[in-house]
Amino acid sequence: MLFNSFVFLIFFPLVCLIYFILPHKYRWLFLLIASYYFYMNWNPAYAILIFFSTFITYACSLLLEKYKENPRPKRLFLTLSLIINFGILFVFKYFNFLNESIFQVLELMNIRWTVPNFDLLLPVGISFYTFQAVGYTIDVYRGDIKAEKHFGIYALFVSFFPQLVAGPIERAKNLLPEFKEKHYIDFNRISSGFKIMLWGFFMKIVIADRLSIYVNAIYNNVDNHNGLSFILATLLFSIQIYCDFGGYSNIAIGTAKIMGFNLMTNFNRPYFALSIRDFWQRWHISLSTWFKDYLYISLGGNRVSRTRHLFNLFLTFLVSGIWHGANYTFVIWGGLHGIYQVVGVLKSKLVPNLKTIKPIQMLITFGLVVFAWIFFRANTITDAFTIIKKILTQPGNLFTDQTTLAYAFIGIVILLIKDLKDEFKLNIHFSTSKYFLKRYLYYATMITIILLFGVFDSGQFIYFQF
Amino acid sequence: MKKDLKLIIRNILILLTILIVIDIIVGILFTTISNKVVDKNPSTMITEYTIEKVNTDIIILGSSRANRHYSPSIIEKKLKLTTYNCGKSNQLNFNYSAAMFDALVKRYTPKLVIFDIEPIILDKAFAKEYNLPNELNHYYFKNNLFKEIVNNADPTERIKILSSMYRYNSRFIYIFDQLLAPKNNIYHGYVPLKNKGYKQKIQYKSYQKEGEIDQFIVSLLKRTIVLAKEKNIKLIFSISPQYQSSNYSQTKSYKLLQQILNDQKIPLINNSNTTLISDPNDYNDIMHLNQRGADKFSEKFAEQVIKQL
Repeated sequence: MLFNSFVFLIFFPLVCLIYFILPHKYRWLFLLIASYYFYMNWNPAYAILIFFSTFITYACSLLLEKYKENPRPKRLFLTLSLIINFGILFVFKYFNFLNESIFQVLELMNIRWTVPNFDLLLPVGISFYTFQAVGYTIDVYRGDIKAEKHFGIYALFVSFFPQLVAGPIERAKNLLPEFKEKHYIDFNRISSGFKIMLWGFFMKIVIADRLSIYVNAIYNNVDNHNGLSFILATLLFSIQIYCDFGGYSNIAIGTAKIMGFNLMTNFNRPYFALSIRDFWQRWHISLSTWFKDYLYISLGGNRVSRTRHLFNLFLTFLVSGIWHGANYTFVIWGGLHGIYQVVGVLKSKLVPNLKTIKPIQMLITFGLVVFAWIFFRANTITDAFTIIKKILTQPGNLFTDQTTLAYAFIGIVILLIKDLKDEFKLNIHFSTSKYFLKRYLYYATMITIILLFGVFDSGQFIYFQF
Repeated sequence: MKKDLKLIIRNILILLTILIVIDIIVGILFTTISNKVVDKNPSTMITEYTIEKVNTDIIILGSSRANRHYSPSIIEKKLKLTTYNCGKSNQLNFNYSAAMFDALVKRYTPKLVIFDIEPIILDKAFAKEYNLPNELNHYYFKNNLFKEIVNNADPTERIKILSSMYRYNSRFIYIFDQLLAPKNNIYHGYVPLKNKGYKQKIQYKSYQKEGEIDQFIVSLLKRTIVLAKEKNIKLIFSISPQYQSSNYSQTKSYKLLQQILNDQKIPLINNSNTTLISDPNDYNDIMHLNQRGADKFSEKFAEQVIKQL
């Protein structure tokens, strides 16, 4: 079920209503059923995978706790949980990619490789719930949290519908206790959740889905377009992906908030970042902190030699790229961000007191991020390099789809005002105005804009494919 | 908690009231403005004009390929019958043409209707890919076939469409653009493309031979033919040139299309490849002729039509 579908508009209020009517002791069960129903709308069979992943991490974590004083079985159960969970992820997401890569390499050496590909559909959100469940196991292993005894509540933690398919990837220490708390109907909380949701719908339906029309037209027809069109399409893609994923995160956070759950902030106006490091503290925060906590720190973080530290940084971003998808485009995208980080660290060591003007820092960071998006969006590596070549050598005519761009422009201006207001704490109030009428006119205007200017074909969220 | 619940219900009701008022105002405003534009500049509000105003002897229906390929002035000169090009961009799915035909014959009886179609209109995947019935949204309550087409695309539409704002979704810029900066140099709906030429090699497109048939589109096609017979309207189906070759003739959907048209003795003028217009300088892209090509095609097509009359 998509957040931007009509079915969700019926599903969610109904879930809220029943949730608040039910006695507290049955609420977890109801949310668990609702979450599985939400997920099974895509492919019912794949709910088995979530259940299996839940069961394995639950059982391993109980065993980890049982043997917490005994390092050998403890390590064994952690390894078992990691192998099974990442194994499932590998089979569904990376096997065919690896198989084809081996085939191509061996073909160059005239060696025949005949292992067939799996004909499997990638389960929606598999990378998200796998990482959430694995993160929980590692937390138990490290002794940061206690293993959850209640299987139902743990199953709800893995499958909680607002963040099941595209995050934010939550931490057990934050979310698990919330399932045990009794939530009451609270006007301020519900109103705040509604505002966040509304903004999320605006980002997704008015901006991201509109921009996707132009971006897809250019990026899916690489041979027919020139450099100028690719520059515009890449700039617009950078806004599209922010509004697509940021929009999803806002809807997820708002949805959970209305029911009384606090999910972590996932996007914090990333294009105002002053460095690549800053960008990753603002972009997909739940994933970047996951990688920091469970991979970068496990590798030794920065408490090692400088060379090893730089390697750790690079490797973390490379793996983050691979997490996004089984394609060399993502590998290069991750690698590029790894290189940016390494260069950033070296720069701060070599010229620690280098002073630059903030807008220039912001512009350079934005430029580097946008350049990397070419690899993220391009359908193949060949396409990505063709696009770069065309940008550099073949400016040509700009492809304009005036209506699409005009609608997108309206949305982008509103986005810019909102992000500028939040970033620089400007004293402009719409949804937070103390005046009742102003607040309600704001809500009504936003809904009107969504209905009049939005794209309503329930476009998929980009991050679902990951 | 009770106080909070009351507050929530009160605020939801206030917001709903504001939205209903805005919705009504937007509906009235958009209907008034679009009616003004149709009067002022019919060729650009082609859906509205086809439904409410067009009254020529010959009507051309279809997608942008129809709109860019058939010059009414050339056809009028050759056939001595008034002609209007009612082709609409992006509407490659036959449901749009069927809807326009149904709406206009309720008002008057043209002598000849030419449907510019794609060879695989009956293919389910093709029909799904180009299913854009929102063009019909603002006439949803006025025509039963429109209702059927819109509901067939998505059953939840019948609820969404209750909102005027939704019915006029994505039409704001279009309507106001036509109101403020009308394009008056269009003759009878024909919008040819600039003569820039197409420099690519002819590409080959492979269609799935055994693709599933869209039974809804089949029923629309059959209903269109029955309606035309009842009203004694001559129908011609036409596949205009494109700068590509393909295996469409081997597809199940094309074979079925041929069979239906043959059974009903409806002519299909097939110029789908580059035989009739072979010069790449006459094309704008794979799917469209430019003005030079379209004018050449219209001349030759009119002669083909004369043979069928």
